[in-house]
Amino acid sequence: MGANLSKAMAKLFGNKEMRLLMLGLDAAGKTTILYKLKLNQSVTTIPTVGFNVETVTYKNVKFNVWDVGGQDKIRPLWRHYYTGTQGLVFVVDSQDRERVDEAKQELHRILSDREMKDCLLLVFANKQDLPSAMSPAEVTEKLGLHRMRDRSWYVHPSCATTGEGLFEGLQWLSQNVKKRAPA
Amino acid sequence: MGRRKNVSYILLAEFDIDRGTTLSRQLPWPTGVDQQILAEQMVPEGVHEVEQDWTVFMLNQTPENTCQIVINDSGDEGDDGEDIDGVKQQPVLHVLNLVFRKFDSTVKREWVVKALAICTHHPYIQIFKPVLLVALQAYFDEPSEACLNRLYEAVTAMDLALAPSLGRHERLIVRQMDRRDLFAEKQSAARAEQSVPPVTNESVESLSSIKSGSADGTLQDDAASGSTDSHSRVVAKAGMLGEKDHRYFHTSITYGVALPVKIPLAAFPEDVGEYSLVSLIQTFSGPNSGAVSGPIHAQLHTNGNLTHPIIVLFNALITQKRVIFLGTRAGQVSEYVLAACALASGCGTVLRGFIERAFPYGHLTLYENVMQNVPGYIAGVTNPIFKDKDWWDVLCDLTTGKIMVHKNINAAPPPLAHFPAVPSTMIPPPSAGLPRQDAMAPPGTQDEEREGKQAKARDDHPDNVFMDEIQLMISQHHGEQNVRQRFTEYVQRFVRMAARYEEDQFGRTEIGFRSAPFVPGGMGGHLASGVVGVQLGSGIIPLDPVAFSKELNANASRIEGWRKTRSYEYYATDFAGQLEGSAFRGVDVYHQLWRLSNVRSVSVPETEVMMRTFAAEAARSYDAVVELLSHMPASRGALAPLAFGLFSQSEAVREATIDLFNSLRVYPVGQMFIRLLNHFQRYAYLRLACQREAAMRGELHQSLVLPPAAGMTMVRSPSNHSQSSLGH
Repeated sequence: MGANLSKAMAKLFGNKEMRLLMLGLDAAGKTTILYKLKLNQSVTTIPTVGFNVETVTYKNVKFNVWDVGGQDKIRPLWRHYYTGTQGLVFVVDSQDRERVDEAKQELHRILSDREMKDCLLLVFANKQDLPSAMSPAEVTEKLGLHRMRDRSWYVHPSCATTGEGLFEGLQWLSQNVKKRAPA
Repeated sequence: MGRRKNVSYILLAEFDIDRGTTLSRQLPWPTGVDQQILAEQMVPEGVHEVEQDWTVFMLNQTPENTCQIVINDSGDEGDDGEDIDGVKQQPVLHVLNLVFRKFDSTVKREWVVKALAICTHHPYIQIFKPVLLVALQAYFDEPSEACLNRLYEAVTAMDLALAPSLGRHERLIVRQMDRRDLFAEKQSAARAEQSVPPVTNESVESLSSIKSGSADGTLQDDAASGSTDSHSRVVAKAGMLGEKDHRYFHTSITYGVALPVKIPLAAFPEDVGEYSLVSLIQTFSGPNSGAVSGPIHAQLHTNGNLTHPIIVLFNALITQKRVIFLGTRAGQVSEYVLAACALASGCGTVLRGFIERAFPYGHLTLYENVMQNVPGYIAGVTNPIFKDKDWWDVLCDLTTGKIMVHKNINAAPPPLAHFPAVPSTMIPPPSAGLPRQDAMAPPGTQDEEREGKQAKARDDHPDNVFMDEIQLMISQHHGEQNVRQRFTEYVQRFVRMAARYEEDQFGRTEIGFRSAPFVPGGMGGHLASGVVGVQLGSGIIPLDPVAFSKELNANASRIEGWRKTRSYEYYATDFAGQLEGSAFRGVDVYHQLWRLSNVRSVSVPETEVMMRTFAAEAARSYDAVVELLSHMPASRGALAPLAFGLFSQSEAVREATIDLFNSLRVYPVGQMFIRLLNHFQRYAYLRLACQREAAMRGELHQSLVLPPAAGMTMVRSPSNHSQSSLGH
């Protein structure tokens, strides 16, 4: 009965759970974003060995966020996390112009997987506080998103250390997942 | 314990900020195993969350993680592998790994992660913990190959030449008795550079010292003290033997300083590392654990939905299901996997074949490359993604304390035809209705009283009763050692039951003794083993046949499951070997002792044949003595079942028992067992033995049929003190 009640409540107030997978090249700022969201604190992160997983609740949506280490050798393991993922949060270091092409290739490789065909794409153009950071528009272009049909995507500027832009990104995800999920 | 090299490889791995985990060094030469796999084993996922962690993994389990054989001067690689499917397989290597995370402001992102591992054939990997700690610290200060070379040399130089090697039965005794002074003579013998155990007359203890339990005690003293008191005095005496625990060989590894090392002498190859059955049981029997979730599976749920979670785990292990332990720290899950292996193998003493499919710490790369090729792996993981996959049959979640069965688990094949209610020839038909069979079992029986009643789920199922007892033991702080002993007995009993199952189902078994009752042979007077027509009982002769057949029925599925596993094949081989090596040639010693402790009145002729058989063999060899004693754990009263022979109405039984005890007394281990008898039993023995001694000194009543060796020993070491004290 308790379960039914909470289901009804969830319907009324729109409680949802959403599984997010956060990927990106190494040192893009994934873990910093995760803990900024979770703790609202800027933490000095240790490079992630393997993964971090945390639950973040924002506006009645429970985000189950997987943050997976980005070194190239372990990128083949990313695919194990695809099943059941509703949103991909792809984090780009906006200052790292040298590797933005590498980021683009990885992104397209992820999205070409069958398991990811229905998932939303949120790109954080991160490290906006740094001088000479690429603008969101530039990131969009460099990642080749304009050519991407059949997928909802959204690029948002962010600064993980201050938290700017992060919740706007989650907001977009929760709104879009709402539309898709049959109520 | 062969004299193998102490260490096969030393490995060093690091987390590189740009390249991820990498294997940086391998000594003395590369293992040949994929470096990425090794590196990820050593630097576990989530290690960025902890300062330090100990993990364990194995090598040589599948072709993918097998080290290449390097022919070297000592030629000691791959010398005693096991032939599996015609392919010579190298023995499993055990790896102890230490990983450190340290702050370093001079490097990018300010953290350095390094891991150092020792690969060894020794099952007691824990002895390397101190030296690994020191060496990894040193490597942070001086990251050079020379630093690791010193470690390699230090570990290689650890000297085990003087470590006595105990036989299987001796090791079993060490485990069952929990005493520090066992086989102390072996250590001194080894130190004196003798290779033979001191089985000489000098070591024969005089009757007087047995009597008092201490060398200088007097009769009054001893009689006045209660039995617990005398026990503590025995322990005190053990302490006097240099305050040293003789269950270990004490040596050291010199790496800068001499680090003391304790080598457990009662090690079994299948009993790897440090673990705690108590923690394992408590984690999955806690108030939050509840019942096992997921579908009911015939091989796993031997008592329907009331099957205790630990029994579900045990069943999954012996029927070779894929079992995963999910936790938060690699070191934590490693220990649980080792504990699970011990749970299933009887702490390495009964079954084997679990370590070779154990992955105490597993991760995605390992799964992809190694684990998925291993049927029925037992793995510890920290990555919760494993929970979402269908890569397991049974998942034990350390964070919640819950065990679940996967919804897609393959259904068990139906067991072969169900048993008739009463399977075997020697069992009378269950003519009377006898609604509650358990009422028939005499009180105090340890095994057969738990025997099954109905196949349906019920609270008083033998396994549930067993688990209740275990949980009570844990709550009363009986300690890890006792819990291990009880589980060992549980596994033994499972195997004996499986043998009986095969016998009933297929008419023969190669994993146990044929079940047969004692055949007296129709002659009176002196019976002896070997007399035609006389046959000691063997196998399982249940006190309550109907209940037992129900229990067999309830167990049929998991026994069938076990029969298809490699652990079963190993056991068949091991059992044949034990049969061959037995000093009692075809006598089911366990069966005899079980009858003496559990059957209310064993007939005089049967007892006599038992005692004579035991006495004859014990007089013949030390091996027979330790084999017999290895069947008498402290938990079942040690010598107590045999001591009843001292009070038999039959003189022949009493005489045989004295002969047997006299033979035991020749050896220090036998003396210790006799000292552990209660006062009543010990004095009964003393009185009878002294009477006989007196009779023989005061002109040889040659009518006594004495096994010569023991008798003569007695005569040669008389004790005036004991005679005078018996005078009144």
